[in-house]
Amino acid sequence: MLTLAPERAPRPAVVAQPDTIGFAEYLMGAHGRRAVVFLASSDPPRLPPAVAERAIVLRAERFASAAPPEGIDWADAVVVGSLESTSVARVATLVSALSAVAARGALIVLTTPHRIGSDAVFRDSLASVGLRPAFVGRTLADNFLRERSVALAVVDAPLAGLLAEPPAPPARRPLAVIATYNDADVIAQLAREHLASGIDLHFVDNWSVDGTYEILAELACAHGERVALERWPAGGPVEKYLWTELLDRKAEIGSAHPGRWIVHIDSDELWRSPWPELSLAEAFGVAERYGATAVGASMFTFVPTRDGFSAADEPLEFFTHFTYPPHDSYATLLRAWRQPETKIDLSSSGGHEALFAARSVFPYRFPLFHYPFRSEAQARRKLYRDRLPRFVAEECERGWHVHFTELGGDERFVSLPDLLHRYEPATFGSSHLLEIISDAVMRRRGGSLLL
Amino acid sequence: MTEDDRTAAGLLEWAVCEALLRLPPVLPPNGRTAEIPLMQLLVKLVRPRSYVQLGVAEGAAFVAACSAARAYQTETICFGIDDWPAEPDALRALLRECYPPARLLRGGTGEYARWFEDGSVDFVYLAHAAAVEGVGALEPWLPKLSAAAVVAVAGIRGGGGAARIWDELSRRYPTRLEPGVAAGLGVVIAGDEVPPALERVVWACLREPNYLALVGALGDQAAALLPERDRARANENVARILGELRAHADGELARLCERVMRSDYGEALTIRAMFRAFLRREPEAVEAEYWETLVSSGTPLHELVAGFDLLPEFRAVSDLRRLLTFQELHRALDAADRAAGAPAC
Repeated sequence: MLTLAPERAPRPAVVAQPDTIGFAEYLMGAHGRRAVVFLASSDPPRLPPAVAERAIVLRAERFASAAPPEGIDWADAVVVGSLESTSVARVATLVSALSAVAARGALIVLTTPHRIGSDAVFRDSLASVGLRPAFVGRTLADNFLRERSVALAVVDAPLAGLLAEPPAPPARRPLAVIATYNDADVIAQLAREHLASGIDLHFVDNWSVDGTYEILAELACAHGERVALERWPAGGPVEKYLWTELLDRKAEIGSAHPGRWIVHIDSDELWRSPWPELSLAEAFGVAERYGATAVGASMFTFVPTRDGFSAADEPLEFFTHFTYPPHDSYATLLRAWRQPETKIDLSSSGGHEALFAARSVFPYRFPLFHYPFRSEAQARRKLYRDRLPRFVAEECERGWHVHFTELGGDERFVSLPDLLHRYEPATFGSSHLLEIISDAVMRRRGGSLLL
Repeated sequence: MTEDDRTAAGLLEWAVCEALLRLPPVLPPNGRTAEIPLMQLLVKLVRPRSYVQLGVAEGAAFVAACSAARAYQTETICFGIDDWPAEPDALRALLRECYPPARLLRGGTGEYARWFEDGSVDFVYLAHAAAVEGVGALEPWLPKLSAAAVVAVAGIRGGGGAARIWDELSRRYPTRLEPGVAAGLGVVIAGDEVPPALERVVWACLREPNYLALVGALGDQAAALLPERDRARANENVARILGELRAHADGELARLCERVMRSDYGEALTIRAMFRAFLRREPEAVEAEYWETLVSSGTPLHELVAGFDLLPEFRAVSDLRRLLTFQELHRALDAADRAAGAPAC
């Protein structure tokens, strides 16, 4: 039997707050920052090589007790710290030092392992000493038991400043461009949610045969100029599901609205604001004032745990469990953009990403709820009648529609709740903060829980 | 039984069958496969946050557990511990591709236990009891089990260490399953907070022996199917890899030829330099003779190139060796360049 040589001895398997380092790396990429500063209270953090080569590790106590070290361009840095001390005085000193570097442009990720009653308490505590967070939520305490108990704040001073202003949507209401095909059971409910969030709607119906068009026509009547409706292709129904052409049509619709926020939404999707107190339109207003011209989304796919969903049900109430994106192709969903003067490119990426010159992506993602399969009957119709036989072969060869084509043909679409994540409306935004605003899910899939 | 109960039972049945019938997309060669369906089912139902396998060997069961974690999106971190005589590099490479949140730890299982915190591990699988530390292998791990933990032991019908470990586990944890898989696979529920779906399956198995027989039969099926599938796939892979190598080798050769053609310091000299280097690496005397003759004959370059095709072995298994040789040729050319005062490519 081999004996464990000291140099081969693994580091302890448990990693505290395992998502924090990946989030810092995400922020560096999203903000284009080149350095990451870790404030270590005890042992230096374990860092993956890509982070380690750009990392500066400082002793938290020393950082707190002296003026911020010179030689660090704080406006080019993400600072990661943890309020671990139980001494109020020490915490106050550290927070004060962090305030100083925040004033010099540092972007700060701050956690505390101590039990904090609510996010509001953490937010207010930080704000009272001059650190106003843009986001507050919870992150995993460790990589084994994964209790979502560690409070985490993102201090992005310019963004927090915008959030402190009275909420305001963009000058023109954002416009969602939505392609539909036989979505009669869900389209009205999702449309109402978007309308209530301050989003106008332009539907491109692909000649539905289940009454979707008639539902949309009623919506258009009821909401006047806020809902537009067309049938596409104009020449009449076609045999194939022309996704590339549909995406081009969507981009074309957007091109008629220079300066306006356009959101490419599928008929079974619901975009939401990452800040519960702001509507979706107001959230786009924040992104715009922050200087962004595009917004990405993190997808949460809801799965029925009982059969029988119908047009009389509200998706947000009926569906109580979700999964993370089934496929890595969902790692980037950049589907909202502020329309430039020219038409953007939506079809090259299969609709996953709006491509255009001088794009400036908002560094925090918005949550996107996805309801692809809602009941056994609807799922079978959609999959085996409306999609699989209608996909264009070339698109499948390019790897598109893989979330449909990988299904084996004997699926049950209603699932046991035990096999899914439970959706708690009141706490979801906080408990899944990093899964919403960053690429935490994909990072975990890539091994980030094992540093 | 109410309608809701019937629906729940139907969903559970489907969930169980789906997991038992699923085959992992890739597996390392020569592994034991009979326990794979049950391992997949357990990963699906337990949804372990952490999985520790004691004894990995070739890694079939470990890769299957990782594949199930990926398929069912359980976000499980997987640790495989074994005292391999050499670093399991090939298995590591496979895991990097199919499941990055997995680590292989080489060494004694008992020694690694101290790196895990008490109460933290959801699933321990003692897969090769005889290969690790015998009856004491599990002892250091028992305190590590979480409130939601299950423990599985392979080979419990084979006597020896695994059987003794199973006896001990059975005494400690009365809720257990013993499906008739290969040399016996025992599963105990060690925690009191295991997922309800797992509890329901366990109780169904305890009530209905046919349930357990099904698990055993599907294990046998996997054991029969998977090696066949992997053999067929390996043949396809060999053909594909050789095709890629050949294309690569041809590309390299073309690049070399182009380089020689661009040279302005004497084609013959360069070609001789190339092939001298080539011959030094070529063990087959007949090939050496062939090339020596070819080179010394002053054969034009295009014919030399065509000469590669004359040797059938170059078109098959020696393609890889050719690639290595081409690196040598490039180095020889660099030397020739330097000697001729030309800039190196």
